[in-house]
Amino acid sequence: MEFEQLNPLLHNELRLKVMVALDALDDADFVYLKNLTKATAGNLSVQIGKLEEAGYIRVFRSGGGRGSHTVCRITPAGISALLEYQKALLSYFRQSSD
Amino acid sequence: MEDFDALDVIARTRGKVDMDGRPTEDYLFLLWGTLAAVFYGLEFLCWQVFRAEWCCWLWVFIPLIGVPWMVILLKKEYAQTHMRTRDSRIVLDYWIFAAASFAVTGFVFDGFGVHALYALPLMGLLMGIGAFITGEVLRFRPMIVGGLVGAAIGMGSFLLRGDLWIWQSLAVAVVAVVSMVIPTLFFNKHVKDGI
Repeated sequence: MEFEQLNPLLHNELRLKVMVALDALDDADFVYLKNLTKATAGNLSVQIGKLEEAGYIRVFRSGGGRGSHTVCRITPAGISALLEYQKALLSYFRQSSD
Repeated sequence: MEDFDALDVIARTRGKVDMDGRPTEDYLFLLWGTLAAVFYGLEFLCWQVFRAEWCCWLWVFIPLIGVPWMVILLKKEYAQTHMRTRDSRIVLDYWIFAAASFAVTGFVFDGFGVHALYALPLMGLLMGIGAFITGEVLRFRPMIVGGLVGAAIGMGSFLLRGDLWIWQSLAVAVVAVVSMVIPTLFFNKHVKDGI
């Protein structure tokens, strides 16, 4: 039995939560994602950076210091990566039920 | 690889986001609907009293008041919710397009002195269609019906030409009330009641 490879970038609880949220929304800011994921600001910032680096999300930063505002939006590459991930995930269940 | 229930994470996150993204009270519709109803109504009354050409330019106050007010309301809303749903983006994009169309047609038609022909019926039609699309997106029947009735009134006002042209202003004011103000009041009550 062969299983589809899960995208390691998405197979992380925090990053997956961020991607699923952004997939369902037009955009969300850092505060929303932090409240949603209940992650620490530092950890969330690192994971958002990884997703941005992979081209899965776009991050718009405005202002600086304490008044800075970060807004995230999923990219078409991010949407298809998430779709592939979900397909791969479901293939595990399909194959185990066969 | 990290060990966690990915399907559970996906389902829970999506459920939470859907809950957060539920439509809340609508004040933008109320803002634009009220402004349109008031100023087009005033245009009509002004013409009846003064019969002056400047009465036809009262509509300019709608974007002058509405745009800054809308920016403030949107910023305030984003500061509370920290996110924007796709539905609200679709609705917002349509209304930005419609507002730009109102402004362009208003300036072009009034600027050339042919306001009596198509500008106002076109605005009425766009307002009705906009309310209809918004109603479809929100799945809110009073707004769908109000939008259709508004679009019909807008189209019907194409017939008000010649000496009757000033009645087109009143028709737009009625469209604003029927397709925007009344459905929004229903919608806000609906949200408050938590139905």
